[in-house]
Amino acid sequence: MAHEFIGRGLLITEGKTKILAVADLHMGYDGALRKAGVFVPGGGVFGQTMTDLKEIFEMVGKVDIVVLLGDVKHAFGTVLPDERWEILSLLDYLLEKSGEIVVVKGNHDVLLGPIVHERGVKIRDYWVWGSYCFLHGDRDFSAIYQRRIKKWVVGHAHPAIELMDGTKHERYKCFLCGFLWGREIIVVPSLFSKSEGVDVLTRELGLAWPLDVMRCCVYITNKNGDLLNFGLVKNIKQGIK
Amino acid sequence: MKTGTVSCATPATRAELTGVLHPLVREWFFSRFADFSPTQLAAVTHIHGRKNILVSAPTGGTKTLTAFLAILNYLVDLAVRKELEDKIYAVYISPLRALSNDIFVNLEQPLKEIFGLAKKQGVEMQEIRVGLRTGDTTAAQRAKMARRAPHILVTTPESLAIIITTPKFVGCARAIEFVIVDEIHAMANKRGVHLTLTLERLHELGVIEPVRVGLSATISPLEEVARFLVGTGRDCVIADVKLDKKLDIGLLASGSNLIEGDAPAQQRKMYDLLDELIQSHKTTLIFTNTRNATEKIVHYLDLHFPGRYTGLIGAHHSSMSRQKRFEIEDKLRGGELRVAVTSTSLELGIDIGSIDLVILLRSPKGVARALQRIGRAGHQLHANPKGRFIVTDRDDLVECAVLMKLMTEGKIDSIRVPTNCLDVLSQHVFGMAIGRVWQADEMLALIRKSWAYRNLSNEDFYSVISYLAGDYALEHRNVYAKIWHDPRTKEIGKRGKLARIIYMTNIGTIPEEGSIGVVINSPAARRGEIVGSVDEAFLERLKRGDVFVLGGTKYQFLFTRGMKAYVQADVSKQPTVPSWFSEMLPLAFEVAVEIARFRGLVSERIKDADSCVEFIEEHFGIGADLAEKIYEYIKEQADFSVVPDDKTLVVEEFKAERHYLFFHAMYGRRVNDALSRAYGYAAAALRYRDIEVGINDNGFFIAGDKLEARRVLAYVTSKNFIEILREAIEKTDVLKRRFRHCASRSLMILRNYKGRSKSVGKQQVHSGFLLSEVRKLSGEFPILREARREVFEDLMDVPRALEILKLIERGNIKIKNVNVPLVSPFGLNLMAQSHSDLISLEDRAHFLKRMHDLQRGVVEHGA
Repeated sequence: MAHEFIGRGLLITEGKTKILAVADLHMGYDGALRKAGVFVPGGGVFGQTMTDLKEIFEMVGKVDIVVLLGDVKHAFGTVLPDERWEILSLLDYLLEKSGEIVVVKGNHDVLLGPIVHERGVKIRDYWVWGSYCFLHGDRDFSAIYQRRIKKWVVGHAHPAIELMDGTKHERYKCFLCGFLWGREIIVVPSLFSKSEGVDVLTRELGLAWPLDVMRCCVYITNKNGDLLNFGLVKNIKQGIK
Repeated sequence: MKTGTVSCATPATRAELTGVLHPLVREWFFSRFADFSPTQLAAVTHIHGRKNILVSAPTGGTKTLTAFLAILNYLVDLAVRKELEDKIYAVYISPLRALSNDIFVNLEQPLKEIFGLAKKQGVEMQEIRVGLRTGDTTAAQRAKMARRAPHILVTTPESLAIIITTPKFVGCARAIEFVIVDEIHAMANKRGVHLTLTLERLHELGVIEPVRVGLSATISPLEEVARFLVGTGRDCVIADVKLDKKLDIGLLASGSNLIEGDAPAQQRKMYDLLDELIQSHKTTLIFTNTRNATEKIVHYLDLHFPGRYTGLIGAHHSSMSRQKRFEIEDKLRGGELRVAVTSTSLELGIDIGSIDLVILLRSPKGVARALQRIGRAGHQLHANPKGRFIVTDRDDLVECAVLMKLMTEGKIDSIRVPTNCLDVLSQHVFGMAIGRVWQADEMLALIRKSWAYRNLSNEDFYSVISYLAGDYALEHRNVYAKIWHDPRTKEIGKRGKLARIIYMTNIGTIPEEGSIGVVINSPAARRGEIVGSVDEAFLERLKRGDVFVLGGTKYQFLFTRGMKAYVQADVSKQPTVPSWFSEMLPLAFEVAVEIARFRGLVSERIKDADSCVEFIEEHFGIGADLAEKIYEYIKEQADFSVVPDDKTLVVEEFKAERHYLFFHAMYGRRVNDALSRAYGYAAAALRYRDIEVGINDNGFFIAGDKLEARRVLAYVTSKNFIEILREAIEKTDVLKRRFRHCASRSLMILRNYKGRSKSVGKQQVHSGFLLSEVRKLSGEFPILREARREVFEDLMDVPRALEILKLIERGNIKIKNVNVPLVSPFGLNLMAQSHSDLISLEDRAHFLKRMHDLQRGVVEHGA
């Protein structure tokens, strides 16, 4: 059983089975902006998310299972105009590209159930497959501590890292991999395109467990799909020339 | 297209003016005043004769009463004949919201007195009503006004735009006869452009064209301002009233050694000097340019002279609450204060009482501004305005000396009105569509009547229509559209039930600037402590690791969250950014060029110290001690490097932590801004690395890992300049910031929506995202183009920068490339105070790859 980083998705392969996990899509964000009086022309966040997903599938081809690691929907206590349309369009696309969709519940997904149910998709708190456990990351569950589970795959944190060379500074979404209590935690970056994410050097991850960021490894995928291993967070030098 | 003629107004004789006044008004006037002022003689008969007029006069020139005199005269005549109707006869528009006192003095008081006079004489007359409508007017007052129209409506540009979109009001605004625009010199900006469209719409609603009266402080060029006031195709006369008072100005240095500006001993000297000046005058007004300095002066005056200023000193700046500012203004008028300290906010308008001395601490950066400030003293008739420049460093010394010279010679720096602003246009097109259905051609014709839009192209107009009509949105998202446009019938109308509310609550052009709280994040013991606040504009330029000063203490910037900036306290590093930069006024082009010319004159004479000092004394009319300081300063530069002047652009090259090119460009900051980014881009493009640029009034620098001076200098030509500059600003903070303002003005981001108002922080986050979305859509999206135009034309001065490049190419300006071991005397201030920005060229993917290689190198090397 092995995993690799493809774009902003995590691909797990065992034998002939392929599982793709993506995190934090925040569907309906454009509608939320409009509701707040911000009028986004063009495709908006939704358009970009779909483009990013398509790029991932171009690299991995069809998969058996797609896991959405929570925060599929953006607005909390309401269903905004376009939100249902966006989520159903997303599910229809994913059903074309995969055999099954698994959704784990994120903190934003309060009213997601009825919408995904229209495509026969269930929402779970966590989902275990082999030695992997997929969950959002904001809440803890006793069942995830089972012996056979060796890896937790989570979203929620929107991890990113800011790199500086003394003149320029840029932020990049990244995967974070660290160890806690004998298990590996893989934090998957968000597919949400509105922001580059949360800089792990200056902000807390907000996960349900005290994962030490400094001892996590940083992986960034670039546009052509290359994987760049930046090593441990604590060793990343800022302002180098 | 007919442009209309602009001509000089012939002043009336005393008899002529007396002749046009109604007996009641005449009697009232001479009961209050001994005689007409020159301004009144110059303008009243023209207004009476229904001529559009621009009245330019120095402060204290009784401008407001001049405009009202003709109108009061007309209304009193009607009122006595009982012919006064229930309609608005005159609209008075001022950019100041705090109008009530001025209106009381110039309008209500005279009306009351005239009415009393009529009563005494047994003359019956109708009541003349004055209505005040600003953003602070309550709904009840507004409703009352709509029921019984005031004869004279006093309002702000924004409120007027609301009024003309309110059906109830439009009824009584159909036959307005006079429009007065006060303080027009303060509206040569988007606010003024917005007003010109409002006025055109007002005309269109009415059955007659009102007379336009513009009131301005000393300003140049008058013809341009006159056209701006009246619009395309209308005539205007100009009454240019000169100051009949003598200016009493002088220059003082605060200490013997101007280099060590912040040393305690020198500080003490400066406060002693201030104290001495204040004590020998009745009321003193001090201008400091920045809010920070304002607070500091008030604090230290109190500290150095315990008890002496308690209750007698007041601060006045734009981040204070309105109530607090009113309080200070009231105290000033009442003569309760001995000294008032202000950043720039007391420059405008309202009469602030018996000030007999104005102190300008640091250069006011332009002649018009200096005159305006000093005019605040001696507001009383016959008193001579008295002003003293106090300089704090040697650049300041030269600058203020030049300013004084230009002031006495009457050479005013020129302003330029922004044109074809697409964001302001969007707002008005939406407003017009709310009123009724328009034919596109008819709408465009109306817009082009505004001087600021006389050359608006069809393409620009229709791109705004496309934007507002939602042509740029995805099909299923038509909620986005604000208007509809039918290309077949060419009709334009509003869309959506909320249109009117959205318009009314989001009108205006003044960008909101937030203030960001500064909070300590480390050391842990002090975490959460709030140490003050900084401007949002300032914060936008900070990058992690920058050190800045706040309230006398150094902090290192870590990160922001919402409207808070988290910092590290206990920093020993030197500050990397000055905290007051965002407020700095840009040095005017004309003043800069004069400074450069002066440097040239001194370098010619530099060898003979005595005669050179004498020359400087005479040139500026200053004392020998100051002239010597100026001489020393220029001599030091001559000894160390080369003295830049109007014919020589000195470029100094030196290596410290980084490689620097210092351009001693004396063309004013707006030109420097443009040039610096072009040269910065050249350096970035040559090595495909990002480059930092620093700008101040005396020049600019570019800094990077490695620079090749010759190639950088050769890269920028007058032919590729505009193209380079466009590329150079594309990823800068400046463009981002301007885009936010434009997005807000063009209603892409609503500040107020569905009863909720949005914080500046939210607007900022959203606008960053909007900008990237807009770019994906089209690089020519109208609001993005407007942001670029604003950067090019309003923030920078691209046309003049281009002229400079041509002069360089023709050899009229020579570039002298000098290698120096460290910063030259002229470069010291630039190095220490300049505002910096980044010219971003290296793309994200490339930077990532490079950083990765570097990181791996570091890790492997370390391992």
